Amino acid sequence: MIDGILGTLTWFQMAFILTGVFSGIVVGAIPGLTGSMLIALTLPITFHMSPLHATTLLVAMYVGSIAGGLITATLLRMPGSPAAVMTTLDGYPLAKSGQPGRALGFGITASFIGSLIAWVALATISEPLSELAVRLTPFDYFALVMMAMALIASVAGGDVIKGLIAGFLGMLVTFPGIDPSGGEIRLTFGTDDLIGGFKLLPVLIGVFAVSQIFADALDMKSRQESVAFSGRGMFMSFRDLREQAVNLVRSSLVGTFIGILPGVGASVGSALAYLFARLGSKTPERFGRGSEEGIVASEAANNATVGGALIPLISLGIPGSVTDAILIGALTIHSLQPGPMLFTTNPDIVWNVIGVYFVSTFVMLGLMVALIRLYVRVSTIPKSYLLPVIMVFCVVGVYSLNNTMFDVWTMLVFGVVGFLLERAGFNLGPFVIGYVLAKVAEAKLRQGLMFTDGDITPLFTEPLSLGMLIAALALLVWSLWAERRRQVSQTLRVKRSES
Amino acid sequence: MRQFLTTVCVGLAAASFAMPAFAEWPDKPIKITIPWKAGAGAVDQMTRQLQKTVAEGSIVDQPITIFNVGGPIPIGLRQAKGQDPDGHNFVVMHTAMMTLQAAGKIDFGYKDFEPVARLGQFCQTTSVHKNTGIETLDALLDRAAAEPNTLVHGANLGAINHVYGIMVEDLRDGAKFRFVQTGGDAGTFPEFKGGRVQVAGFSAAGATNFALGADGKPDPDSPVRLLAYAGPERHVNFPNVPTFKELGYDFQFCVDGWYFAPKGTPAEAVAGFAAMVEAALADEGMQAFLAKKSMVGAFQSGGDLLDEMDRQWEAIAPVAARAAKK
Repeated sequence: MIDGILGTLTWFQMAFILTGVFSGIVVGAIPGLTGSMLIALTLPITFHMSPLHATTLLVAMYVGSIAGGLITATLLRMPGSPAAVMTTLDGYPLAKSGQPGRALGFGITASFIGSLIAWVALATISEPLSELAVRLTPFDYFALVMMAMALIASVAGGDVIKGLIAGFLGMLVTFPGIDPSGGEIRLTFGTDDLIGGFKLLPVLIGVFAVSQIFADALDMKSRQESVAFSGRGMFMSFRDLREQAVNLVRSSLVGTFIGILPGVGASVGSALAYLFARLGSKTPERFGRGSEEGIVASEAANNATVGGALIPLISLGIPGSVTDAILIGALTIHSLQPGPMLFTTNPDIVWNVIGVYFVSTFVMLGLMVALIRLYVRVSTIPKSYLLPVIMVFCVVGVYSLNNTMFDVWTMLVFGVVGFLLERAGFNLGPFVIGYVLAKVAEAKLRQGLMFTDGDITPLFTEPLSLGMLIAALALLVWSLWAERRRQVSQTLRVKRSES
Repeated sequence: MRQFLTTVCVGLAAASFAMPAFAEWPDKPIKITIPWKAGAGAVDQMTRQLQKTVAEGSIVDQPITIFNVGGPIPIGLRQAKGQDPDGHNFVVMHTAMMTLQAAGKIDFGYKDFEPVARLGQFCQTTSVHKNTGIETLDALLDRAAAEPNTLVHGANLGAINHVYGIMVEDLRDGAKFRFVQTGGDAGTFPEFKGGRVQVAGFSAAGATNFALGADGKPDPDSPVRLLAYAGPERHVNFPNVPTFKELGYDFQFCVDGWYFAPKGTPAEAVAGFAAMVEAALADEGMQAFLAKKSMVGAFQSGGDLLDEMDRQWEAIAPVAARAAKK
């Protein structure tokens, strides 16, 4: 292992790591452009490199791109990448309240620690973890997703009914297209374009980034809020670290584990970690209003999913994420077959991936901190210059995803949807959570039913899925009850102050 | 130097005689649409290799540009169908063209294009989980007939590996697998490893990865037992696995990598493209690529190609229509 890490420390390798992490951060920070896009575009260039250098560059990009997403999520409320959606919920309010340095700093530190914890799991127990992951049945997955669904009620931001409506709307959006289990085409109204459904990136960029552009554009007359940058609070103090320690470790572990599960992804990882953080928090009412705990949970978890997703890739040859699927493509092009045999056939590549992930984590921390002053300036650029540029990136990025204009229209329509929902007082959090989770939930439930020939009882009799379903229910009831209690105490406080 | 120039001149002269069509075609870059995401699947990579081989070997004097249209196949396929038939637009597709049409997911098919050439193909295998105790194809079919609808067969429902699975169960009266949505090779293997799927139709490349060890011999730790190979003859990667034909079944199932042009493309361009594919196939780099992907080079064009497509359509269409209803 030490050889693997040392092997990455040649000048040549470091140059690839620096290039990879830096380009990952830049692309990750730009709404519309994602890490998987960057990796897919770089893939042809790596054909001419040695397999070692190719994997180095691609893994470094992966690490950088997930971390980069938090920058625009925090400063502009536009998640640079889908994985940073949960970060917008607290990062932006905190930055807006005059503490952009602190919001970014907490995100960066959490990203770093999340990556490190996932790395430890990758380097030490990747094989048993992947063996465990393949034992989970589709019903277990479904129950797990239900736990994350319980989050909808708790991020509703006060109005549970509106939260649930937004959540259901989000779920509805996943219906058109090829159904995820039978392969049947549904609700496409005879158009080919809708066969692919409303895809993740156009919807998320539309709902968050484009709607924000619309809102900012309408609000252009109001004076630019210039946030004076102060380095204060940029680094977590010892006290901060102590307060966040449990949250950091828990969120990183959640992220790592979700990362291992194929087809679940970084957005679910950060959503679930966010839910746990809120439940474990002494100040749950601050969530969604600029809670440091929220930022830490989301960022630690989404970065940990990168390491988590590399675990089944290395030990089983199964991609844990879309980006991993492209990485597998890159390895096979260099005639390396990821999987259990890779440890025997090409141990140098395995240790290189593990080593590069480790070194990239530190490079990511260094670059993010070094560039922080530059980022904060972004929020001081007049919106009349900034918004058109971001809009262009959104359009170009979303188009280049599949080379279809339909995705661009999808993004614009969901921009309007997001804008109207917010104007009507709906929270976007539940909408996105409903959207992200419904497809996985449907696919897994129906797959489970196919395995059991239509019998749903194992969902309620197998200990693991039953346990998670009970936990989901408990989480839901608890968050509803906590919300109610908060409202009651607030009303009492108001009444007391009136009298 | 002079000798070198002479060689080049003679070479060029020979090339111009050997491929007269190239004098007029192509006069601008050749665009090949791939109706799915970049890097996904052997046929995408095959086309990238074609691009590279053609450029490196100067097989034609215009570059090939590749245009991936992501999302489900019908989107990119329809785009390609509507392109200008000026002799420079092509699309690569495989057997899914037929399964999609038979299932009613596209209202056009191979007859609405000009078939240009087949470059290579990969064939399917049938495997069982070792914990079933099944050791032969006959034993598998016997079990599927004696206990219908109990052996779980992983597949991407409605797609090629599902159609293949149905064709395999059709080999024995009364045999029935229970098909479960698990996706392609990469999605099916985790379910296989987790012991939830007992039967799978992996591609030759998938079977190589999942059943063989680094030394190329069957991996004792793998849960995959290969029973039969649906190619015309045994696969070099697993020489001990019999073909369906050897086992007494008149059955072959390979996924062909086909190039098409929009209807109305000049015959000269179609012939030129086919000659280009044939020349590229002779290249060592292309051969090495195909071997790496467990594919077999199998050039076809003109009438032979159309006959083969008709034969496959007759075999696949009714089964694919059934697969869509299941």
